[in-house]
Amino acid sequence: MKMPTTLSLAGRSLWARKYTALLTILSIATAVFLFLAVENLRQGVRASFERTISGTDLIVGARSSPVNLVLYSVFQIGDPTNNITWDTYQEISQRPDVAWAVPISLGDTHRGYRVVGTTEQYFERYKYAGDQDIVFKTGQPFDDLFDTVLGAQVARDLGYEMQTSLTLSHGLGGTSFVKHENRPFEVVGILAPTGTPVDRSVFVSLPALEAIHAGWKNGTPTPAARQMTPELLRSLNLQPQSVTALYIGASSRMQTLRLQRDLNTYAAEPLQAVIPGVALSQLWGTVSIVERALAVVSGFVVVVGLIGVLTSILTTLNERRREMAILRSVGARGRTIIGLLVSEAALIAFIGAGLGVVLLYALLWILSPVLEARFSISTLRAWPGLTDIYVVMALTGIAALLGLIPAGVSLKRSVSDGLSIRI
Amino acid sequence: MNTDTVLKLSHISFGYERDHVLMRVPDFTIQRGQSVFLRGASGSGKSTLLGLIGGVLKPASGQVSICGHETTSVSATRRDKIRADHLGIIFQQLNLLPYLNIIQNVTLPCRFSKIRAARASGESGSAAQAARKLVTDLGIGPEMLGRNVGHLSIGQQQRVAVARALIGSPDLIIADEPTSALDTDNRDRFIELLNAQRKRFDCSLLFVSHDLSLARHFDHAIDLDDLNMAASA
Repeated sequence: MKMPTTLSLAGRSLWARKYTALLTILSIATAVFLFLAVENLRQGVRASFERTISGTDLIVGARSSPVNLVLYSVFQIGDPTNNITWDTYQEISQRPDVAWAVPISLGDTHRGYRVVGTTEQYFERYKYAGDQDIVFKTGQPFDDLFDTVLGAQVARDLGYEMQTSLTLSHGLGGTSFVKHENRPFEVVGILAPTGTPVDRSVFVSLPALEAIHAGWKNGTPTPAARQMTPELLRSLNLQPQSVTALYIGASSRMQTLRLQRDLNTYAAEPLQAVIPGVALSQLWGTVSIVERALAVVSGFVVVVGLIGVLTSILTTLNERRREMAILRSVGARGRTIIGLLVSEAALIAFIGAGLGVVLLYALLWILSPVLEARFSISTLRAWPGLTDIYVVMALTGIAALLGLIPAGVSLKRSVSDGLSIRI
Repeated sequence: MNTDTVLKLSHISFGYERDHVLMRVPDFTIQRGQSVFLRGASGSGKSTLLGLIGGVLKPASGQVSICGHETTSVSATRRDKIRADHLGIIFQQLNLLPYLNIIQNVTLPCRFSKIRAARASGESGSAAQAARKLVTDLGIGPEMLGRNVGHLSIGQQQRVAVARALIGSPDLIIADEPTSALDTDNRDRFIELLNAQRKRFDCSLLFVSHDLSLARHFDHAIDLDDLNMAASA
């Protein structure tokens, strides 16, 4: 039989007080769980955010702020301040330093999901998460005037399949009282999930947007508009007069800045050209205040957990005076008493922190489909990483240091109590 | 110093406050193999004296020597080592660690003293074997050895405590009121058992009690009030 080491003595002593120890371990586990969950979520949100759009050199819209332009053209949040004329789009797309230009047009919704009017090129040019292409889970881009392509989340949430018929609502609000009920669209394609706002979009062609608004005046349909049949609409000239924004790919990356400057000083109409990465950084800078606040709060939770460990050990010291006296009587040195209490604090923190990590990743494993479906956060770490190991180690180290406080108190007491304490 | 002297206190004075001396012991010696009964009433300073002998308390002046090792002028760590190597201590009651089983409790001193661990291993092959032999010799059945000490009666716990004090044959066993929780029959049996075992291991014994009737079991008897000049003053 091996003689117990200080750590195993600490473990056995802790086991003898397992219910109070368990509560302390749970408080540490909760603290670590919250801290790492916030950290993981923060990094996941940031990664999701940064991977929203790539491969696009410039986004061009009516002059406003870069953040506002990115919000409405990429994240589908907020409203555009103005449109870009079709002539301007044509002129820009024909510049030699522009490799491609994809127009998007916003203004309608379907059951709360934004409708994006665009061209087939959108599905070829829009890239996310580095260099990933949009992939059709089923179907193909729109061919007929009243064809529509659905983002993955729209199809999943609304239970739509291929050939489902749907109608659009006028306006960008969640609730609309003006619907394009006499011009139904048919689903011809459903996209694979991307973890970006694309998943929450309903795509139609630009002529289709023109068609459903044909005969409208001042944002409302005229009686004549209600009489227009799909066949009649197909025969009309449906070239748009304006679009909301353009995604642009430069012929050469080197020319992007010059192209941006040219577009920002475009004479024919006031335009704003932003580099997506720069605008995303600005946007993240704004929202990261919340992120930092969350990190601070979760940090405090960990501090409270550590104070819990200290309190738990300090409150049991009185009832453990006999234990210390016995150990001293059999020859335990001061360093053994210190080692015992430091090991105990470290053991509580290690088990608690480890439990917190296990709980977090178990929960993430269960909840990741929901997080991806509901919040498009698909970049959460699925397995513990170096950060988690560092957190567990740091917490164990800090708890061990804190353990020196009760150890000092206990050592002082064990000397004054002598060898024959009677309590 | 003669190494047959296991304990020697010379001109010891001690007080928790600088100008208030609680204990003054001019001379007190225990020779190897001797059993000494020290009578002391409650509050007479028994715990203080044991603290001084054990090296947990430091005298204001004077010297404490255990088996020739002077403990008052050495470091606390060295005092701890001397205590671990040369002293076995039995308390009044409940002096076992409740989270260890019988064998783990008995072998605990071997964890802190290589000398006692080596002696125990030399006698029986290993500290655990020595512990098993000791507790069975003291009347605890082999079926109980793996049990947690919390499940033992007070008498059984006292025997385990004796085994723990004896393991590795320390030079001096200090028994601090070990029989106060026992009835007369069990008390006498316990002392006989303790004496037999300590003779077998060639240990000296300092038995501290308030009960003068126990003095007949020991080679010498002394009253703490006679020993402590501060008390008589």
